[in-house]
This record gives sequence, structure tokens and C-alpha cells, in this order.
Amino acid sequence: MKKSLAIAALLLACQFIGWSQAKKPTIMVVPADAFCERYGYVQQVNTTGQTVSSPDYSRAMKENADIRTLVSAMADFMAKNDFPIQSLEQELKRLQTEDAEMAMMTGRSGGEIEESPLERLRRNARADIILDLDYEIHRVGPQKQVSFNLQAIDAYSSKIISGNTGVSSAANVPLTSLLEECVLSFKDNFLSGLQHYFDDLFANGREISVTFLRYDNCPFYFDDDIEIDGEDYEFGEWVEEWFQDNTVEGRFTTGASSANRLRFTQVRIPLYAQNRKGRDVAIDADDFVKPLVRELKKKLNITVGASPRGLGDVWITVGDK
Amino acid sequence: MIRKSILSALSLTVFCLGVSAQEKIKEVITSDYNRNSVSVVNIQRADSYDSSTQGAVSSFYPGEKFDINNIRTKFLRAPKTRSEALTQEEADEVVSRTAFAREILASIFNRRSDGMMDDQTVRYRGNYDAKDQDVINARAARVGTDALGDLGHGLVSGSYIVLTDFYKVDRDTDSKGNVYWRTNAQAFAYKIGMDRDALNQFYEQCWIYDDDDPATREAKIKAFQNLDIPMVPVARATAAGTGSSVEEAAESCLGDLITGLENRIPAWEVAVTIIGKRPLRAKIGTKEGLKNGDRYRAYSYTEDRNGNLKSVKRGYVRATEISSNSGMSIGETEPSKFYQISGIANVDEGWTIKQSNDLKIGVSLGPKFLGLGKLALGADIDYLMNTSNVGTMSYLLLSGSLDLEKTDYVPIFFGLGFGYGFHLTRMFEIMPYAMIGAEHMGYSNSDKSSDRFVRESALILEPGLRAAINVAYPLQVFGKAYFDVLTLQGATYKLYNEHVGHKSGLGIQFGLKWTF
Amino acid sequence: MIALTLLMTFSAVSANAQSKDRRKSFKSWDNYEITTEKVGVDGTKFVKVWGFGKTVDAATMAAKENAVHACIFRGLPGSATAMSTPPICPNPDTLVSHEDYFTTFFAPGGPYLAYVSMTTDGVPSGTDRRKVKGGYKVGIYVQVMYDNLKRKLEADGIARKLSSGF
Repeated sequence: MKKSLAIAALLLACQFIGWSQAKKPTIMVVPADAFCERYGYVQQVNTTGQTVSSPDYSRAMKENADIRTLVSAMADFMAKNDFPIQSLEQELKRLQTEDAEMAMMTGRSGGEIEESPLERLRRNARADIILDLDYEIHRVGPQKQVSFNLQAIDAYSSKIISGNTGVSSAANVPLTSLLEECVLSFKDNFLSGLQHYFDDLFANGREISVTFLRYDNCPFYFDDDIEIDGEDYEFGEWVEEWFQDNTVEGRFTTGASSANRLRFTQVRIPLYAQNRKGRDVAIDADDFVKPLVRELKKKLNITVGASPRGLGDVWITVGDK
Repeated sequence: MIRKSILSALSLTVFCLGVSAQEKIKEVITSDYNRNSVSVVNIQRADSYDSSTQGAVSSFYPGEKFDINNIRTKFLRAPKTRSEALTQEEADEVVSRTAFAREILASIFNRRSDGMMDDQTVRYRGNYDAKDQDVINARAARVGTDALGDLGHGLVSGSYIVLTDFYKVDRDTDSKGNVYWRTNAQAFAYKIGMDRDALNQFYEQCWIYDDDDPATREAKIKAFQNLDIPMVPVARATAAGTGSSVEEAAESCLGDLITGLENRIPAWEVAVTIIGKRPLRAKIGTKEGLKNGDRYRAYSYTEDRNGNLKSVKRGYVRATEISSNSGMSIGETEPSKFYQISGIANVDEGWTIKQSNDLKIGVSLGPKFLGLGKLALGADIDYLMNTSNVGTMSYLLLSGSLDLEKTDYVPIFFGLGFGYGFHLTRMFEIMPYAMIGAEHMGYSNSDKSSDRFVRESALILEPGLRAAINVAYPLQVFGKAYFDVLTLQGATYKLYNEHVGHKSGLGIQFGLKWTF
Repeated sequence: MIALTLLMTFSAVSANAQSKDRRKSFKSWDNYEITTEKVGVDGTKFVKVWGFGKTVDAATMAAKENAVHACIFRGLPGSATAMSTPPICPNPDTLVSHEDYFTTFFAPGGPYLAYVSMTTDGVPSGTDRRKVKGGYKVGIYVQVMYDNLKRKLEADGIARKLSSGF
């Protein structure tokens, strides 16, 4: 009897711990822009009348066997550490299908939001950490040598979590050996950087930025005093107060503050929050500002829109959507 | 008088050795040894001996321990008569006129007429040079044993040119009227002045890739032609030889020249560590050109007060059983065996042994008491023929002595024998031996008859026992007990001996022995 | 009976002395050299490490211990073609807070030996074997099963898993 009680208590405790755990960050390896440029994996993208070249990931992944070697070597050790890597290839395929379906359904193309393929990928694939991978194969006479540069980037804050650069041995051996040597070379240093980042994440929350933009039809400027809950506040001041209440230990920095624009950076948000049904869910920048947007709408009775730009950046437009 | 001069000569030798030892004291002997590659180039003097000396050099194989760079230039011309030796400056001048470094690189990298090169030779040499430790290390590393061949790039800097110069070639006849040739020879060794950085620069500037466009190819070919890599003089050795032809005489010098250079170029001296005791074993063998009886010096290591590495000399060993290791290492090379011949401490596993060539010739000198006469001065030369694991050594003996009492009759003994030495400890050798020889008396020049020598001599048989103890290797003190059997006396000998009074009898000798 | 008592007392004293010795060495356990030779095969670190001991064998054992110690507490320096490796337990207090664990772990013939294998051909030799005051200093090539060691320490609750907290 005692025993079964103890077991039950233990199970309950486990469950409790289970509930309180944060969502595991998703990780994705993406070829660096420099790499794509160097090997010609670029596409011309026409956005708002301007033609810019941007990396063509699906071609890079399809045509370059070396990068697949690297990705699978990295996926291997990450899986061993209980962090399966999201497959960029699969994610790209999914996006393509999704886009095609969307186009069929709506029959019009979007484009009001400028987003580079990487940003779009970040947003849609929702990888929390992007591993920006660059490598170059040097020829030293009959020998080959690979130099590598792997940056782990926090998709929320675009901050570099861990940087790893180095070179492989110079040898006339199959290239896969040298590439795998590179991966093994930076593996532990990279994992340690990641650990460090997670430690910080648990202690201080995720880091995002929030930008407020004022549309013309907004009845007030951001430095105007407005009445909220029967009290006079400067709009910016009120927003700051909201951040003080809702960020982890009230941490954020007011980056820019003007009549038309407010920018908050290094906003530390909790890893997870309760949804309306009271369940713990992992949140991103967009999720974090939703209650704020709701409150603003309710309290000021104006149109407020939130458009996420990647996972860690969100634009809040006041006056229109 | 003789003794005095010999002693002073000996002391001078000891002094010289001491000086050279002192010079080397700061240099740390390491067990790093990698194969070197050589190309032998003959100096021609534009005379009738050119073809014979060239023939000797072309057919010469410097030994298994060297890789051969097959370069285009096989000879150089020096504007000097063969009666004089080439000076170092002259040799340097001659060498500087040819782009040897380029030829060496072209040979190592199999450069074709279109400027393309490959690393096949380099990889082969890298694999061939790899020691067991390299193989084991490679297995522990991700790039693996595939990368062993890349060790070959490090061997490029161990490329040498050996310039041979034969001079003072003379024709002579021996006492029987046979014609023979005599020549002096010297060798100059030059090392390629190319370190790893220079090699990388060479790869960068001169290595043509399959996808290089014609302009790049052209530029790289030009860069190769403009390569200016010096050949650095490193050592010089001399030798002399005889033979029934000039070619033979020249051939007889070449081995000695290589040995001479070996003694002067530390990088050519094989070094390895002892991996086991009883018997001492080390992983070298035929690949390093190891032969029975080859002498190596043992070193152990310590640190001084400041933590600097110091090598400590620990006596000598000789190779006994030679393993055949002429193949690629797979990490389990069969070791050769060694026997320690000197040193107070036992050579221990982990110590380094480094090639320290000697002639394997021992010269002993000392007074002889009794035996044939009463007092004589005896000198022996022994040549070490074989050394075994347990320290038994076979010697070829050559002995000579002069009776100091009856000098009027010049009684000279000379004999040839065989000795078999046992080592009870490495310090102490006891050698039973047997010798057959002759004693000659008389000095008259008037007698020209052909059997004169036989008439003036007697056959001597000498069984004996020699005991030698190391004082300070290579100096030994020895004592010898023997029984001289005087037999088959020639008629004149018999006559003289009535005055001299030599007879069969037991004798002893004491003296000093030096091994060269 | 008396003999037995004596024996027990003696062994207790010696065990005590040993553990004291060990504690002392824990504190000053930083004085050794270690270098990364090359990137090792998957899951391993290929290093050259030095150890000191009264005999060559003791020094070799010390070197093996040092190699494991470095992987856990010190990290491995990088080389031209291998990046540095951070320690498994970067927190400097780990050794003190888990002293009993590590005393057992590093005991002579202890569990640490399962994570290190010597790849020196034969015995430490040549310049890697130095007679110094009080004994020998030897350098050996070893492979440390770094990943296994990490898993072990994670499983034993000494090191944190990367995924812990998620």
C-alpha cells in the first residue's frame, strides 16, 4: 500500500516536472550567404521593384553533396544529444507545397511585407536556432584542406550564440573525411556554446525586439499624453510599463523613442506561457505581444496590427493593420 | 720511442674525441629519424677517367635506407685537372650552376613535359617511412590511415645531392707485377633549402590543377622555371680505394664516402627507441640499412633545473639479429635485436639509440713476454665479423710482433687467425682464438732467390685466450695467454734461430685496445 | 586475532593515508601538460599527455588520469587543425562538491580507466620518457572516449545534459 502510494507520488512528481519543462528549441542548419554566393547558389528576387540576389537554399542542398555530408554529420551528433536537427531540405519542400496551395486558394500574391527568403524561412520553419554554415575547400598542391565557419544564431535576437572557425588537416584523402573531421573538430566547442546559451535562456528568458510604428490615421503621436484607464499616460511610457510587468525580471532596453516610432530591444520574454486553456505553450515574439495588442485595442479602441518578422522581431502597427 | 709516439697519438685521439663530445653536449639527440632521399652526381674533369668513374657512380646504390631521386643531371664538369681535389668553394660554384632543387622537385613530383605533377612518389614515401607509432596515431585520428601518405610531404626537405669527385687516379703494379688502380675520392653533400613554408609556396605558385585555364598553366610553368631554391652544403667526406680497373677503384670508394657523410650529417644517422629488453630490441632493420655488428649509441633523457630537455649518453650497443622490415608498416614491425657492449647502466626500454658508425676494427698494442722469445712488442688488429644476441662475437685477427731483444735478426711474427669472444658481462670479454702465422728472421737484401722467404721463416701455430675489459669504451685493457708452436723451420731460419733462440712456449701479453 | 586486528588497523591507516594523499593531489592537480594531437575518430579525443610518477609505469598511469581529468575539468587546448575542447564540467566547484564521487572515480584501477586508452607504441620512449628528480616524467599518446565519459557523468548526475531543462 505504502509502496503503491510512493510510486503514485513519484509519477505525479514526474508529471509535474514534465509540465514545467520548456519546449525544446528547434535547430536547423542553413548554408551561409557567403557560401551560396561563392558556389553560385543564388536567385534573383524581385521585391518592391528592386532586384536583389538571395541564396537559393534548395539548389544548394540538391546540388552540393558536401553540405549534405556536413549536415548529416551534425544531425548525427545533435540527435545523440537529444536535439534532432530540422531538415532544411524537407522544410523547403513543405514551404513550397504550402505556397503553391496558398496561391491556389487565394489567387493573389502577397508582398506587402518585405521578407528575405531567410527571414521567411525563419518565420515559417520556426527554427529557434539557425546554424549558419560556411566552408571552403582549399587546394594545397595535391592536398586538400577545408576551412570552416559555423555560427549558431539565435533566431529570435539574431545574436551569435557560438562561433566556430578552424581548418581541417591538409591531406590528400577523400573530402568527406576532411568534412567530417571539421564537424568533429568543432562539435564539443559548439555544444558547449549551446549549453551556455540554454543556461542563459533558462535564467533570463528569450531575447526579442519589438517595434511600434505609427500609421497616419492614428489619432495620437507616441509622445502624446493619452488617457488609459482614467489616467493620463504618455503612450510610450504606458508601453514601457507593460514591458516592465511582462518581461523576465523586467528586462528590456528602449532602443529608439520618437513621435512615430518606438523600438524595444533585448526584450527578455519567458520561454513559455499559458494559453487561454491554461496549457503551457512555447511562445515567440508574436505570441508575446498578442496580449499587449489585445489590451491596446480594448483600451484605446483603435486598430492595432502585429506583423512578425522572424521569430524574434515583431512590428506593431498602431492606427492600421 | 715507438711506444711514446703511439701513446701520444692515442692521447691526441682521446683529446679530439673529447673535444667533439664537448661540442655536442648542448645538442639534444632525439629519436626522430625520417628517410632521406639522395641523388649521386659525379664530377667530370674532361679526361679519360670520366667514363669509368661515371660508370661506377651510375651503377652505385647508396643503400636501402635512402630513397633515390632520379634527377636529370648525372654529372657536372669542373675545369680542373684530376691531379688535384676540388675545393669546397669550387664544388659550391659547380653546384650553383645547375638548378638541382628544381630537378629534385620535378623528380619527386613526377613532373611531366606539360608541367603537370602528381603526389604518387610522395605518398609512397610517406607510407613507406611511416613508423608503427605513425600508423597507430593515424588510426586514432579521424582522417585515418589514408593520410599517412601525406607524411611524405615532410620528406621533401630531406632531399640531398651527393657530389662525388675522384682525383689523383694512379696506376700501379704490385710485387707480383699485377696492374692495379688507386684513386682518392671525396663527396660533397648538399641539402635542398626548402622548409614546409617554401613547399607550400611551391604548391601555390607551381602546382597546376586540372581545371586551370591555359593562362594560369602558363604562369605556373613559368613560376616553376623561375624557382630559386638553393642547395645548401652540409658535409664533406673523403675516401681512397684501389681496384683492378679505375671503375673498380672508384666503386670501392663510394660506400666509404656514404659512411663518411653519414657520420657528419645527423639527419642521416638512424635513431630509434628501444622497445624491449633481454635481448634489446628496436624497430629498425633492413629498411634502414641495418647490418649485423652496426654500432649505435644509447641515450636517455632528463631535464635540467629549468625543465630543458637533456640527452644523456649511455654506452653503445651493436646490432645482432636484423629484422627484414622493408615494407609498409601496419603497426606491428618486427624489431631487430641488439647487444650492449659498453656503458655502466643497462640500456633500458624507452631509451633512444642513434647510429654511431665505427670501422669495427680494434687495434691492440702491448709487450709480449715469453712465448717464442723473451720480450717482444706485439700489435693486433681484430675485425668484428659477427655479433650474436648473447654477446658472442667472431673476430678476424691479424697479429704482428717484433722481438725487442734480438733486433739484429729482426725476428718478426705475423699471423692470421680467428677468435670467438664471449661476454660474461658487457665489460668483460674472453676470447679463445687460434692463429696461424710465420716468423721471419733476417734482413739481407743480397739474396734474390724466390724461396728466400720460406727459408727464412718458420710456421707458427698459436692457440690462445684473450681477456679484455672496458676501461672507457672504446679503450680496453687486455691480457692474452697463448702457446706458440714453432714448426716447419726454414733452413736459414734454423740457422739464425741458433743465435736468437726462439722456441715453442707459453707466453703472455698485456696492453691496451682501442676500437675504431 | 591480534594479527587480524593489527592487519585491520594497518589497512585502515593505509587507506586513510591514501585518501588523504588523493585529497592533497586533487587540490594541486593541475600541473600537467596536455596537447591535442589531431581530431580523433568520432566520440574520442586524441591527445598527448604528460604524467609524473616514481616509476615509468606510475607516471604512465598518472598521465592517463591526467587525460581524463583534463577532459572533465580543464578542457583540451586546440591545435593547428583541431579546435579546443571545453571541459565536461566547466563549473570549478564540481570537483569539491562531488569529491567522494571523484575519489572513487580516480581511485587506482578505478572507473576512469574505461575512458582512456593508450595509443603509444609500446612503452613511453625517447624524449617522452624523462628521468627527473624523484621519478619519471613521461608523455603518452592517448585516446579519451570523451563522449562516453560525458554520458557517464551526465548519467551519474555530475554533468548536466544539454537537453536538461527541456
